[in-house]
Amino acid sequence: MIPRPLTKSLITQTKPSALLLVLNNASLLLFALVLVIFAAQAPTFFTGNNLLNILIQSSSTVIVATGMTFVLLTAGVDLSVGAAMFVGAAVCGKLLLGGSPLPAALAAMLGVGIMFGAVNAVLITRLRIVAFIVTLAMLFAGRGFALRITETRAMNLPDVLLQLGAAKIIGVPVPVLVFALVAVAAQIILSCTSFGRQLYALGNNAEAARKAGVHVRRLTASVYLISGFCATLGGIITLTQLGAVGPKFGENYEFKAIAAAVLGGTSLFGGRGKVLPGTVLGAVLIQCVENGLVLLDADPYLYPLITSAVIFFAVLIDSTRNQMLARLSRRRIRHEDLPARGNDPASTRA
Amino acid sequence: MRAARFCGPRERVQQGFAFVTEDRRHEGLCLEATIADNMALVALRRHAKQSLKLLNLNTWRDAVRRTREAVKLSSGARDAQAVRTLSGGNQQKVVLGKWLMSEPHVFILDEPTRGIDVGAKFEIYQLIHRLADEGAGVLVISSEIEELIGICDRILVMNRGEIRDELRRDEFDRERILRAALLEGAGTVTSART
Repeated sequence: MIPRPLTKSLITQTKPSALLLVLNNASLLLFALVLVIFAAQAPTFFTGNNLLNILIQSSSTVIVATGMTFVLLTAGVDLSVGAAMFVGAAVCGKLLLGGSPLPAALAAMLGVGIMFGAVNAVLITRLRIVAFIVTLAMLFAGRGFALRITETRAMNLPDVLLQLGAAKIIGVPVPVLVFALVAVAAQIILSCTSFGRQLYALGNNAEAARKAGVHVRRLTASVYLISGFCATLGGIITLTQLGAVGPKFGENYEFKAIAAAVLGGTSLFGGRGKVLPGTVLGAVLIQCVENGLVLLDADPYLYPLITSAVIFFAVLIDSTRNQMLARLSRRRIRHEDLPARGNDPASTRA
Repeated sequence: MRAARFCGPRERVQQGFAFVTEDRRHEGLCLEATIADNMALVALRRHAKQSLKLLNLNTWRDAVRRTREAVKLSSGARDAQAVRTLSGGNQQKVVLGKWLMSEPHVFILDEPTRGIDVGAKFEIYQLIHRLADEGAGVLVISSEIEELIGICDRILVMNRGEIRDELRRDEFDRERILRAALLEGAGTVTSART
Protein backbone atom coordinates (compact mmCIF):
# COMPACT_ATOMS: atom_id res chain seq x y z
CA MET A 1 0.00 0.00 0.00
CA ILE A 2 1.30 3.43 -0.91
CA PRO A 3 1.70 5.54 2.22
CA ARG A 4 -0.16 8.80 1.97
CA PRO A 5 0.79 11.95 3.80
CA LEU A 6 -1.14 12.48 6.98
CA THR A 7 -2.01 16.03 6.26
CA LYS A 8 -2.38 17.90 3.05
CA SER A 9 -1.45 21.55 3.03
CA LEU A 10 -3.58 23.72 0.86
CA ILE A 11 -1.88 26.99 0.23
CA THR A 12 -4.14 29.57 -1.23
CA GLN A 13 -2.98 33.05 -2.03
CA THR A 14 -5.64 35.61 -1.25
CA LYS A 15 -6.70 37.70 -4.18
CA PRO A 16 -6.60 41.45 -3.67
CA SER A 17 -10.08 41.88 -2.34
CA ALA A 18 -12.26 44.95 -2.43
CA LEU A 19 -11.69 45.34 1.30
CA LEU A 20 -7.95 45.54 0.71
CA LEU A 21 -8.45 48.29 -1.82
CA VAL A 22 -10.69 50.22 0.57
CA LEU A 23 -8.18 49.93 3.39
CA ASN A 24 -5.27 51.06 1.26
CA ASN A 25 -7.06 54.25 0.29
CA ALA A 26 -8.90 54.88 3.54
CA SER A 27 -8.07 58.57 3.87
CA LEU A 28 -8.89 59.25 0.22
CA LEU A 29 -12.28 57.58 0.60
CA LEU A 30 -13.02 59.49 3.77
CA PHE A 31 -12.12 62.63 1.86
CA ALA A 32 -14.54 61.75 -0.94
CA LEU A 33 -17.22 60.88 1.60
CA VAL A 34 -16.91 64.24 3.34
CA LEU A 35 -17.08 66.03 -0.02
CA VAL A 36 -20.19 64.11 -1.07
CA ILE A 37 -22.01 64.68 2.22
CA PHE A 38 -21.38 68.41 2.21
CA ALA A 39 -22.13 68.74 -1.50
CA ALA A 40 -25.47 67.03 -0.95
CA GLN A 41 -26.35 69.19 2.06
CA ALA A 42 -25.05 72.57 0.97
CA PRO A 43 -25.46 73.45 -2.70
CA THR A 44 -22.81 76.16 -2.53
CA PHE A 45 -20.18 73.75 -1.20
CA PHE A 46 -19.20 72.18 -4.48
CA THR A 47 -18.71 75.37 -6.44
CA GLY A 48 -15.35 76.36 -7.88
CA ASN A 49 -15.33 79.48 -5.81
CA ASN A 50 -15.84 77.67 -2.55
CA LEU A 51 -13.29 74.96 -3.35
CA LEU A 52 -10.75 77.67 -4.14
CA ASN A 53 -11.67 79.27 -0.83
CA ILE A 54 -10.95 76.03 0.97
CA LEU A 55 -7.52 75.87 -0.67
CA ILE A 56 -6.80 79.47 0.30
CA GLN A 57 -7.91 78.90 3.88
CA SER A 58 -5.92 75.71 4.26
CA SER A 59 -2.72 77.06 2.71
CA SER A 60 -1.06 78.13 5.95
CA THR A 61 -1.88 74.82 7.63
CA VAL A 62 -0.48 72.92 4.64
CA ILE A 63 2.79 74.85 4.82
CA VAL A 64 3.21 74.42 8.58
CA ALA A 65 2.23 70.74 8.30
CA THR A 66 4.80 70.22 5.55
CA GLY A 67 7.56 71.28 7.92
CA MET A 68 5.99 69.11 10.60
CA THR A 69 6.04 66.11 8.25
CA PHE A 70 9.83 66.38 7.96
CA VAL A 71 10.14 66.33 11.75
CA LEU A 72 7.67 63.45 12.17
CA LEU A 73 9.60 61.42 9.56
CA THR A 74 12.59 61.37 11.90
CA ALA A 75 10.32 60.24 14.77
CA GLY A 76 10.57 63.67 16.38
CA VAL A 77 7.92 66.29 16.98
CA ASP A 78 7.89 70.08 16.86
CA LEU A 79 5.33 71.62 19.22
CA SER A 80 6.81 75.10 18.90
CA VAL A 81 5.51 75.94 15.39
CA GLY A 82 2.56 78.00 16.64
CA ALA A 83 4.83 79.93 19.00
CA ALA A 84 7.33 80.54 16.20
CA MET A 85 4.47 81.94 14.09
CA PHE A 86 3.40 84.24 16.91
CA VAL A 87 6.90 85.54 17.71
CA GLY A 88 7.63 85.97 14.00
CA ALA A 89 4.39 87.82 13.40
CA ALA A 90 4.95 90.04 16.44
CA VAL A 91 8.46 90.95 15.28
CA CYS A 92 7.22 91.50 11.74
CA GLY A 93 4.37 93.69 12.98
CA LYS A 94 6.65 95.79 15.20
CA LEU A 95 9.03 96.33 12.30
CA LEU A 96 6.23 97.27 9.89
CA LEU A 97 4.69 99.72 12.35
CA GLY A 98 8.18 101.11 12.97
CA GLY A 99 8.40 101.94 9.28
CA SER A 100 10.50 99.07 7.91
CA PRO A 101 9.93 98.04 4.31
CA LEU A 102 7.70 94.99 3.82
CA PRO A 103 10.36 92.61 2.40
CA ALA A 104 12.68 93.30 5.34
CA ALA A 105 9.90 92.65 7.85
CA LEU A 106 8.93 89.39 6.16
CA ALA A 107 12.56 88.29 5.98
CA ALA A 108 12.89 89.03 9.70
CA MET A 109 9.84 86.86 10.34
CA LEU A 110 11.39 83.95 8.44
CA GLY A 111 14.60 84.61 10.39
CA VAL A 112 12.68 84.16 13.64
CA GLY A 113 11.43 80.78 12.40
CA ILE A 114 14.93 79.64 11.54
CA MET A 115 16.15 80.84 14.96
CA PHE A 116 13.43 78.78 16.65
CA GLY A 117 14.51 75.79 14.61
CA ALA A 118 18.16 76.41 15.47
CA VAL A 119 17.48 76.57 19.23
CA ASN A 120 15.39 73.39 19.04
CA ALA A 121 18.08 71.68 16.96
CA VAL A 122 20.91 72.60 19.34
CA LEU A 123 19.00 71.46 22.42
CA ILE A 124 17.92 68.20 20.77
CA THR A 125 21.12 67.19 18.98
CA ARG A 126 23.79 68.62 21.31
CA LEU A 127 22.23 68.35 24.75
CA ARG A 128 20.23 65.28 23.69
CA ILE A 129 17.00 66.39 25.33
CA VAL A 130 13.82 64.72 24.07
CA ALA A 131 12.24 66.69 21.20
CA PHE A 132 8.83 66.69 22.87
CA ILE A 133 10.15 68.47 25.98
CA VAL A 134 12.41 70.89 24.11
CA THR A 135 9.72 72.07 21.73
CA LEU A 136 7.09 72.18 24.50
CA ALA A 137 9.39 74.50 26.45
CA MET A 138 9.92 76.57 23.31
CA LEU A 139 6.15 76.76 22.87
CA PHE A 140 5.67 78.40 26.26
CA ALA A 141 8.83 80.50 26.08
CA GLY A 142 7.92 81.73 22.59
CA ARG A 143 4.33 82.60 23.41
CA GLY A 144 5.39 84.36 26.59
CA PHE A 145 8.04 86.33 24.73
CA ALA A 146 5.62 87.36 21.99
CA LEU A 147 2.98 88.44 24.53
CA ARG A 148 5.66 90.58 26.15
CA ILE A 149 6.69 92.36 22.96
CA THR A 150 3.10 92.88 21.83
CA GLU A 151 2.05 93.80 25.39
CA THR A 152 -0.87 91.39 24.80
CA ARG A 153 -2.52 93.96 22.54
CA ALA A 154 -3.68 93.27 19.02
CA MET A 155 -1.74 95.10 16.31
CA ASN A 156 -3.46 96.20 13.15
CA LEU A 157 -0.96 96.05 10.34
CA PRO A 158 -0.73 98.13 7.14
CA ASP A 159 -3.01 97.23 4.26
CA VAL A 160 -0.08 96.11 2.07
CA LEU A 161 -0.24 92.78 3.83
CA LEU A 162 -3.90 92.20 3.03
CA GLN A 163 -3.29 93.30 -0.54
CA LEU A 164 -0.47 90.77 -0.78
CA GLY A 165 -2.79 88.04 0.50
CA ALA A 166 -5.49 88.90 -2.01
CA ALA A 167 -3.08 89.27 -4.94
CA LYS A 168 -3.16 86.86 -7.85
CA ILE A 169 -0.38 85.74 -10.15
CA ILE A 170 -1.65 84.41 -13.49
CA GLY A 171 -5.06 83.99 -11.92
CA VAL A 172 -3.82 81.95 -8.96
CA PRO A 173 -4.11 83.50 -5.50
CA VAL A 174 -0.69 84.02 -3.90
CA PRO A 175 -1.39 81.78 -0.83
CA VAL A 176 -2.33 78.84 -3.07
CA LEU A 177 0.74 79.44 -5.20
CA VAL A 178 3.04 79.40 -2.15
CA PHE A 179 1.25 76.32 -0.81
CA ALA A 180 1.72 74.46 -4.11
CA LEU A 181 5.37 75.47 -4.40
CA VAL A 182 6.18 74.38 -0.85
CA ALA A 183 4.36 71.05 -1.14
CA VAL A 184 5.89 70.12 -4.51
CA ALA A 185 9.40 71.18 -3.47
CA ALA A 186 9.08 69.24 -0.21
CA GLN A 187 7.95 66.07 -1.93
CA ILE A 188 10.76 66.28 -4.51
CA ILE A 189 13.28 66.73 -1.70
CA LEU A 190 11.84 63.76 0.18
CA SER A 191 11.70 61.27 -2.66
CA CYS A 192 14.38 62.36 -5.11
CA THR A 193 17.36 63.56 -3.08
CA SER A 194 19.77 61.66 -0.91
CA PHE A 195 18.82 64.01 1.95
CA GLY A 196 15.20 62.84 1.75
CA ARG A 197 16.08 59.18 1.41
CA GLN A 198 18.34 59.39 4.42
CA LEU A 199 15.53 61.00 6.42
CA TYR A 200 13.34 57.96 5.86
CA ALA A 201 16.20 55.65 6.86
CA LEU A 202 16.85 57.71 9.99
CA GLY A 203 13.19 57.51 10.97
CA ASN A 204 13.01 53.80 10.28
CA ASN A 205 16.07 52.80 12.23
CA ALA A 206 18.35 55.50 13.59
CA GLU A 207 21.09 53.09 14.64
CA ALA A 208 21.22 51.38 11.25
CA ALA A 209 21.31 54.77 9.55
CA ARG A 210 24.20 55.90 11.76
CA LYS A 211 26.16 52.74 11.05
CA ALA A 212 25.54 53.22 7.34
CA GLY A 213 27.35 56.55 7.53
CA VAL A 214 24.33 58.85 7.68
CA HIS A 215 25.09 62.14 9.43
CA VAL A 216 22.30 61.65 11.97
CA ARG A 217 22.97 64.82 13.96
CA ARG A 218 23.03 67.11 10.93
CA LEU A 219 19.88 65.53 9.51
CA THR A 220 18.02 65.84 12.81
CA ALA A 221 19.08 69.47 13.15
CA SER A 222 17.99 70.27 9.60
CA VAL A 223 14.42 69.02 10.04
CA TYR A 224 13.87 71.45 12.93
CA LEU A 225 15.27 74.30 10.83
CA ILE A 226 12.91 73.32 8.01
CA SER A 227 10.01 73.11 10.44
CA GLY A 228 10.77 76.54 11.92
CA PHE A 229 11.09 78.06 8.47
CA CYS A 230 7.83 76.50 7.26
CA ALA A 231 6.07 77.62 10.45
CA THR A 232 6.87 81.29 9.87
CA LEU A 233 6.23 80.99 6.13
CA GLY A 234 2.76 79.67 7.03
CA GLY A 235 2.57 82.51 9.56
CA ILE A 236 3.20 85.05 6.81
CA ILE A 237 0.30 83.58 4.83
CA THR A 238 -1.97 83.82 7.89
CA LEU A 239 -0.77 87.37 8.44
CA THR A 240 -1.67 88.36 4.88
CA GLN A 241 -5.13 86.90 5.43
CA LEU A 242 -5.84 88.46 8.83
CA GLY A 243 -3.95 91.73 8.52
CA ALA A 244 -3.48 91.79 12.28
CA VAL A 245 -1.56 90.11 15.10
CA GLY A 246 -3.55 89.22 18.20
CA PRO A 247 -2.59 87.35 21.38
CA LYS A 248 -4.07 84.16 19.94
CA PHE A 249 -2.07 84.30 16.71
CA GLY A 250 -0.85 80.84 15.70
CA GLU A 251 -2.47 79.17 18.67
CA ASN A 252 -3.06 75.41 18.34
CA TYR A 253 -1.24 75.35 15.01
CA GLU A 254 1.04 72.62 16.28
CA PHE A 255 -1.95 70.33 16.71
CA LYS A 256 -3.53 71.30 13.41
CA ALA A 257 -0.24 70.54 11.68
CA ILE A 258 0.27 67.21 13.42
CA ALA A 259 -3.35 66.22 12.75
CA ALA A 260 -2.99 67.08 9.06
CA ALA A 261 0.21 65.05 8.74
CA VAL A 262 -1.15 62.04 10.59
CA LEU A 263 -4.42 62.25 8.68
CA GLY A 264 -2.31 62.09 5.54
CA GLY A 265 -0.71 58.83 6.62
CA THR A 266 2.47 60.07 8.31
CA SER A 267 3.55 57.84 11.15
CA LEU A 268 4.31 59.41 14.53
CA PHE A 269 7.03 56.79 14.96
CA GLY A 270 9.00 57.98 11.96
CA GLY A 271 9.99 56.59 8.60
CA ARG A 272 6.59 56.69 6.92
CA GLY A 273 4.76 59.58 5.30
CA LYS A 274 4.54 61.86 2.33
CA VAL A 275 3.80 65.52 1.79
CA LEU A 276 2.07 64.95 -1.52
CA PRO A 277 -0.65 63.75 -1.47
CA GLY A 278 -0.62 62.76 2.24
CA THR A 279 -0.13 65.85 4.37
CA VAL A 280 -1.73 68.19 1.82
CA LEU A 281 -4.79 65.99 1.64
CA GLY A 282 -5.02 65.86 5.43
CA ALA A 283 -4.85 69.64 5.82
CA VAL A 284 -7.38 70.25 3.05
CA LEU A 285 -9.71 67.61 4.52
CA ILE A 286 -9.71 69.34 7.91
CA GLN A 287 -10.45 72.65 6.20
CA CYS A 288 -13.22 71.05 4.12
CA VAL A 289 -14.97 69.89 7.26
CA GLU A 290 -14.74 73.32 8.87
CA ASN A 291 -15.86 75.06 5.69
CA GLY A 292 -18.77 72.67 5.15
CA LEU A 293 -20.00 73.16 8.69
CA VAL A 294 -20.01 76.92 8.21
CA LEU A 295 -22.03 76.55 5.00
CA LEU A 296 -24.49 74.26 6.76
CA ASP A 297 -25.00 76.87 9.49
CA ALA A 298 -24.11 74.30 12.07
CA ASP A 299 -23.89 75.21 15.73
CA PRO A 300 -20.39 76.74 16.14
CA TYR A 301 -19.90 74.78 19.35
CA LEU A 302 -20.11 71.61 17.28
CA TYR A 303 -17.22 72.52 14.93
CA PRO A 304 -14.37 71.24 17.08
CA LEU A 305 -16.33 68.13 18.02
CA ILE A 306 -17.10 67.16 14.43
CA THR A 307 -13.63 68.06 13.18
CA SER A 308 -12.02 65.96 15.88
CA ALA A 309 -14.40 63.08 15.16
CA VAL A 310 -13.33 63.06 11.50
CA ILE A 311 -9.66 63.17 12.48
CA PHE A 312 -10.20 60.44 15.01
CA PHE A 313 -11.86 58.14 12.50
CA ALA A 314 -9.19 58.70 9.89
CA VAL A 315 -6.43 57.90 12.34
CA LEU A 316 -8.35 54.94 13.74
CA ILE A 317 -8.76 53.46 10.26
CA ASP A 318 -5.10 54.09 9.59
CA SER A 319 -3.85 52.39 12.72
CA THR A 320 -6.09 49.34 12.46
CA ARG A 321 -5.33 49.18 8.75
CA ASN A 322 -1.85 47.78 9.17
CA GLN A 323 -3.05 44.90 11.31
CA MET A 324 -5.90 44.17 8.92
CA LEU A 325 -3.61 44.36 5.92
CA ALA A 326 -1.24 41.90 7.54
CA ARG A 327 -4.12 39.56 8.27
CA LEU A 328 -5.56 39.84 4.78
CA SER A 329 -2.31 39.42 2.90
CA ARG A 330 -1.21 36.45 4.98
CA ARG A 331 -1.15 33.21 3.09
CA ARG A 332 -3.84 30.87 4.18
CA ILE A 333 -2.50 27.46 5.02
CA ARG A 334 -5.22 24.96 5.73
CA HIS A 335 -4.41 21.61 7.23
CA GLU A 336 -6.82 18.93 6.19
CA ASP A 337 -6.65 15.90 8.39
CA LEU A 338 -7.10 12.79 6.38
CA PRO A 339 -8.49 9.63 7.96
CA ALA A 340 -5.88 8.61 10.51
CA ARG A 341 -4.67 5.64 8.54
CA GLY A 342 -0.97 6.30 9.21
CA ASN A 343 -1.48 6.33 12.96
CA ASP A 344 -2.98 2.90 12.93
CA PRO A 345 -0.21 0.33 13.53
CA ALA A 346 -2.26 -2.30 11.74
CA SER A 347 -2.24 -0.41 8.47
CA THR A 348 1.52 0.21 8.57
CA ARG A 349 2.08 -3.48 9.01
CA ALA A 350 -0.21 -4.34 6.17
CA MET B 1 49.67 52.49 5.58
CA ARG B 2 48.38 55.17 7.89
CA ALA B 3 47.53 54.68 11.51
CA ALA B 4 43.78 54.98 11.94
CA ARG B 5 42.55 57.82 14.09
CA PHE B 6 39.55 57.03 16.27
CA CYS B 7 36.43 58.31 14.57
CA GLY B 8 32.76 57.53 13.98
CA PRO B 9 31.08 55.35 11.38
CA ARG B 10 30.50 58.22 8.95
CA GLU B 11 34.21 58.96 8.46
CA ARG B 12 35.00 55.26 8.23
CA VAL B 13 32.40 54.75 5.52
CA GLN B 14 33.88 57.64 3.57
CA GLN B 15 37.33 56.09 3.93
CA GLY B 16 35.99 52.95 2.24
CA PHE B 17 35.20 50.68 5.14
CA ALA B 18 32.18 48.41 5.25
CA PHE B 19 30.82 46.97 8.48
CA VAL B 20 28.29 44.17 8.38
CA THR B 21 26.86 44.01 11.88
CA GLU B 22 25.99 40.82 13.72
CA ASP B 23 22.64 42.32 14.70
CA ARG B 24 21.12 43.04 11.31
CA ARG B 25 17.58 43.59 12.57
CA HIS B 26 18.55 46.39 14.92
CA GLU B 27 21.67 47.86 13.41
CA GLY B 28 21.86 46.70 9.83
CA LEU B 29 18.49 47.19 8.21
CA CYS B 30 15.53 49.50 8.09
CA LEU B 31 13.03 46.68 8.35
CA GLU B 32 9.99 48.64 7.19
CA ALA B 33 11.80 50.19 4.24
CA THR B 34 12.06 48.58 0.83
CA ILE B 35 14.87 46.43 -0.50
CA ALA B 36 15.89 49.15 -2.93
CA ASP B 37 16.00 51.83 -0.24
CA ASN B 38 18.03 49.67 2.10
CA MET B 39 20.52 48.76 -0.59
CA ALA B 40 21.00 52.31 -1.78
CA LEU B 41 21.45 53.83 1.68
CA VAL B 42 25.26 53.76 1.93
CA ALA B 43 25.87 54.58 -1.70
CA LEU B 44 23.77 57.73 -1.23
CA ARG B 45 26.65 59.09 0.86
CA ARG B 46 28.73 59.37 -2.28
CA HIS B 47 26.53 62.32 -3.21
CA ALA B 48 27.41 63.81 0.18
CA LYS B 49 28.70 67.05 -1.26
CA GLN B 50 25.40 67.64 -3.00
CA SER B 51 22.86 66.13 -0.66
CA LEU B 52 20.06 68.24 -2.12
CA LYS B 53 20.89 67.39 -5.73
CA LEU B 54 18.32 65.26 -7.49
CA LEU B 55 19.18 61.59 -7.67
CA ASN B 56 19.30 60.00 -11.07
CA LEU B 57 16.63 57.37 -10.49
CA ASN B 58 17.60 55.40 -13.59
CA THR B 59 21.21 54.81 -12.63
CA TRP B 60 20.02 54.26 -9.09
CA ARG B 61 17.66 51.46 -10.12
CA ASP B 62 20.35 50.05 -12.36
CA ALA B 63 22.82 49.92 -9.48
CA VAL B 64 20.25 48.19 -7.28
CA ARG B 65 19.62 45.61 -10.00
CA ARG B 66 23.32 44.86 -10.48
CA THR B 67 23.88 44.55 -6.74
CA ARG B 68 20.94 42.18 -6.40
CA GLU B 69 22.55 39.93 -8.96
CA ALA B 70 25.94 40.17 -7.28
CA VAL B 71 24.60 38.97 -3.93
CA LYS B 72 22.18 36.51 -5.58
CA LEU B 73 19.13 37.88 -3.82
CA SER B 74 16.07 35.70 -4.30
CA SER B 75 14.53 36.65 -7.63
CA GLY B 76 11.06 36.39 -6.11
CA ALA B 77 11.66 39.49 -4.00
CA ARG B 78 10.51 42.76 -5.51
CA ASP B 79 12.57 45.93 -5.16
CA ALA B 80 9.63 47.68 -3.49
CA GLN B 81 9.08 44.90 -0.96
CA ALA B 82 9.68 45.64 2.73
CA VAL B 83 12.85 43.99 4.01
CA ARG B 84 10.88 42.74 7.02
CA THR B 85 9.15 40.17 4.80
CA LEU B 86 12.39 38.51 3.67
CA SER B 87 14.03 35.41 5.11
CA GLY B 88 17.14 35.78 7.26
CA GLY B 89 19.41 34.77 4.42
CA ASN B 90 17.92 37.25 2.00
CA GLN B 91 18.01 39.97 4.65
CA GLN B 92 21.71 39.33 5.13
CA LYS B 93 22.20 39.54 1.37
CA VAL B 94 20.51 42.93 1.37
CA VAL B 95 22.93 44.07 4.09
CA LEU B 96 25.90 42.81 2.06
CA GLY B 97 24.48 44.38 -1.08
CA LYS B 98 24.11 47.70 0.71
CA TRP B 99 27.85 47.74 1.39
CA LEU B 100 28.87 46.32 -2.00
CA MET B 101 27.07 49.17 -3.67
CA SER B 102 29.34 51.72 -2.03
CA GLU B 103 32.44 49.84 -3.32
CA PRO B 104 34.53 49.76 -0.13
CA HIS B 105 38.14 48.54 0.17
CA VAL B 106 37.85 46.88 3.55
CA PHE B 107 35.01 44.66 4.74
CA ILE B 108 34.44 43.90 8.41
CA LEU B 109 31.95 41.06 8.64
CA ASP B 110 30.66 40.35 12.14
CA GLU B 111 29.10 36.89 12.27
CA PRO B 112 28.08 37.10 8.59
CA THR B 113 26.24 33.78 8.58
CA ARG B 114 24.33 34.01 11.83
CA GLY B 115 20.76 32.81 11.58
CA ILE B 116 20.66 32.08 7.88
CA ASP B 117 20.02 28.95 5.86
CA VAL B 118 22.68 26.66 4.41
CA GLY B 119 22.18 27.74 0.82
CA ALA B 120 22.58 31.42 1.65
CA LYS B 121 25.58 30.58 3.85
CA PHE B 122 27.33 28.95 0.93
CA GLU B 123 26.56 31.88 -1.35
CA ILE B 124 27.94 34.32 1.23
CA TYR B 125 31.17 32.30 1.49
CA GLN B 126 31.46 32.45 -2.30
CA LEU B 127 30.92 36.18 -2.18
CA ILE B 128 33.66 36.60 0.47
CA HIS B 129 36.07 34.65 -1.72
CA ARG B 130 35.23 36.77 -4.73
CA LEU B 131 35.68 40.01 -2.81
CA ALA B 132 39.11 38.86 -1.61
CA ASP B 133 40.08 37.80 -5.15
CA GLU B 134 39.13 41.22 -6.40
CA GLY B 135 41.55 42.78 -3.92
CA ALA B 136 39.36 43.81 -0.99
CA GLY B 137 40.53 43.25 2.57
CA VAL B 138 38.07 41.06 4.46
CA LEU B 139 38.01 40.70 8.23
CA VAL B 140 35.59 38.05 9.43
CA ILE B 141 34.59 37.91 13.07
CA SER B 142 33.10 34.57 13.93
CA SER B 143 32.72 32.06 16.71
CA GLU B 144 32.35 29.13 14.33
CA ILE B 145 35.70 27.41 13.89
CA GLU B 146 34.63 25.43 10.82
CA GLU B 147 33.60 28.60 9.07
CA LEU B 148 36.92 30.28 9.85
CA ILE B 149 39.01 27.33 8.76
CA GLY B 150 37.02 27.25 5.55
CA ILE B 151 37.40 30.87 4.48
CA CYS B 152 40.45 32.38 6.18
CA ASP B 153 44.06 32.90 5.18
CA ARG B 154 45.00 33.84 8.72
CA ILE B 155 43.24 33.42 12.05
CA LEU B 156 43.76 35.63 15.07
CA VAL B 157 42.32 34.27 18.28
CA MET B 158 40.93 36.83 20.68
CA ASN B 159 40.29 36.23 24.35
CA ARG B 160 39.22 38.91 26.81
CA GLY B 161 40.07 41.73 24.44
CA GLU B 162 43.57 40.48 23.63
CA ILE B 163 45.00 38.60 20.67
CA ARG B 164 46.17 35.26 22.14
CA ASP B 165 47.31 33.42 19.05
CA GLU B 166 47.92 33.84 15.35
CA LEU B 167 47.73 31.00 12.86
CA ARG B 168 48.63 30.89 9.17
CA ARG B 169 46.65 28.72 6.82
CA ASP B 170 49.06 25.77 7.02
CA GLU B 171 48.98 25.88 10.84
CA PHE B 172 45.19 25.74 11.25
CA ASP B 173 44.42 23.42 14.11
CA ARG B 174 41.12 23.20 15.94
CA GLU B 175 42.65 22.30 19.26
CA ARG B 176 45.16 25.10 19.20
CA ILE B 177 42.46 27.63 18.37
CA LEU B 178 40.19 26.37 21.11
CA ARG B 179 42.96 26.32 23.68
CA ALA B 180 43.87 29.92 22.97
CA ALA B 181 40.24 30.98 22.97
CA LEU B 182 39.16 29.16 26.10
CA LEU B 183 42.30 29.45 28.22
CA GLU B 184 40.75 31.86 30.68
CA GLY B 185 37.01 31.82 30.25
CA ALA B 186 35.12 32.42 27.07
CA GLY B 187 36.81 33.96 24.09
CA THR B 188 36.02 35.11 20.59
CA VAL B 189 37.72 34.05 17.44
CA THR B 190 38.69 36.65 14.92
CA SER B 191 40.09 36.02 11.55
CA ALA B 192 41.40 37.94 8.65
CA ARG B 193 41.64 37.29 4.99
CA THR B 194 43.26 39.57 2.47
